[in-house]
Formats: sequence, structure tokens, C-alpha cells
Amino acid sequence: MKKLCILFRSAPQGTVKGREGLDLALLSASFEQEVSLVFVDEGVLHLLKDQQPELIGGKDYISTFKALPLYDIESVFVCKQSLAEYGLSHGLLSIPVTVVNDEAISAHLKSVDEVLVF
Amino acid sequence: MILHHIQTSPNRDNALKLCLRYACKEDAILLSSDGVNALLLRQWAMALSPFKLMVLKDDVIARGLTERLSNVCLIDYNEFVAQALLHDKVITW
Amino acid sequence: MVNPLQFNGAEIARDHQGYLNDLNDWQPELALLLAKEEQLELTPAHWEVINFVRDFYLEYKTSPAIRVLVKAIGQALGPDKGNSKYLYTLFPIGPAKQATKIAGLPKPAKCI
Repeated sequence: MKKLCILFRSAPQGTVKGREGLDLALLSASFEQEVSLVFVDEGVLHLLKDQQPELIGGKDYISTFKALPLYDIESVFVCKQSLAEYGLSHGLLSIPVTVVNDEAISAHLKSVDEVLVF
Repeated sequence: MILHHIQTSPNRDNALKLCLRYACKEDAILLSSDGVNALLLRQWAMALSPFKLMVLKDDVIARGLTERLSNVCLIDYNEFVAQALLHDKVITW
Repeated sequence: MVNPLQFNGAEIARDHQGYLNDLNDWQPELALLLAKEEQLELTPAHWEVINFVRDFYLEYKTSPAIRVLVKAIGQALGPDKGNSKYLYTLFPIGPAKQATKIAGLPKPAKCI
């Protein structure tokens, strides 16, 4: 079993990166890999409540993040500095996450086997 | 030890900024494609200076930057592969 | 190749494996037709799972693969129903595959 970290740094709408990252995360978890997610920079916008991607022709993969616990993906980290940069507070987020500082993210990237950036 | 790989210009993309935010001092950074342009800008050249830095040779030559970047470590594709194996993992930002 | 599905005088669009293209085309009566193609006679136990996967999709916008389906049903309906043996008894070819098809949903990404 590999420790796989999927890092989201791109905004949710506009590109398919976030959706690809989530698909990979769920698929890897289905194959019993130990998956963790990290949201940084514009990627933190994935976590905002009340998104309606279908309104602009996108698929609503944002709702799928709520299913992470069913896939046994329990480690979900968010960069504290990135949240602050975008003026987001914990209360605006749609799923339970662990807010961590830069050092904790560095340590996490070091501790896993692979990091894939989306 | 992580090898961080940057392929995009810092003027178009936050890859380099994020990599620098989360890199540890023992990590190495590899610039390729438009990523090499970062070294022409003083702020990024300074920010990169604490790290072991490598730049993909063909991308430098192709852009006519060989003289400007004469003091950086240029590597070819074979050395890139060797470096990837030398490090615990590669993160492509 | 999948035959076109005639329902209430209209043709329902499907993909090459027989999954509906548009989940809004689905109605409980249509499920009976889809089940017949799978050679299944729907009992209340089947309906419980079909309604479950449909609600799952509407909440999470993804069709559950088998492992997730087992876990989610276990949490909602108890361990008697949240196990693959029970679900395979109802849907012998594959619970995730067949239940999502009969529920009018897209095929799960990793489908056993």
C-alpha cells in the first residue's frame, strides 16, 4: 500500500484539473491506497459551500467531496495561509478539514510516497 | 529529499511560488520549459538561491540563454532521470 | 449493442452499455423495463437498494462503486444489508453495476 497525496492548487471551475485529481483520489482509495488530500493556493476554493457548477456547464464534482469518508479518505489538509489569502474562514467550507500551516504541509509532502499536483 | 520540478513561467503560473513555499532546504529544484525564465528575474533568482538548483540544458540553449545562465547547473535528460532516481520522489508542480 | 428503449411513446437515450444518458428521464415505471433487461424481478428489497443508489447519486453526484456502496448501505440500513453477499443475492451480475443501471444513473467509474 502506497501513501499517495493529491494536492489541489488550481481553482475548481475553468479547468478539469480538480475533477481529475478527485477521480484519481477516489480510484486510488478504491484500490486500497492510503490517500490524503491537500488544498493550497486557489485550490482551496474547491472547499467553498454552495457551488453550482452546472449553472455554467460544468459537472458538479464538488458534491463528490462529501463522499470522501465513504472512500476511507480521512486526511484532508488545507493551507492556513492560502485560506487567509482568499479571505476564507473554516465556517465557509463544505467538508470537515484540518487547517495546517506551511511547515505541516512540507512535513506531509515529505512523509508520503508520491505527490500528484492538480 | 524531494526533487521539485517546475515547468511553467512564474509570470503565468503559481507553481514556482508554491514550490518555494513548501520546499525544505535539503530539497532540490529543477527548472524546465518556460520555468527556466524565472532565473532571469532577480526576485526569483534570489528566492531560488538557497536550494540545490538544476536546469534542463536544452531548454536553456533553445531560448538563447546559455550565456545569461552560465553559472547554473545544466543537466541533460539522462541526468534528469538519474536525479529523479536519486531523490525520494519528484513533485511536478 | 443495446436496443433503443421505448417508454410512454418516447425513445429514451442510452449509452452503449444501456445506462441512461439523462438521469432525469428516469421514473420508477422505467426501472421495471430496465430490470426486465437484467432479468430481475424487483422486490421491495431491490427497491430499497435502487432508491438508495439514486439518493446517493443525487447527494454526491457520483455512482457508488461496490466497496463504497457496501459501506454506505451498512451505515444507513445496518450490517445485514451492508455486505456484498446480500447485495449480490439481489443483483447477481454486480450490485453497483445493475442497481445504478436500473436506477437510471451513469455507470460507476470502478465497477465490479
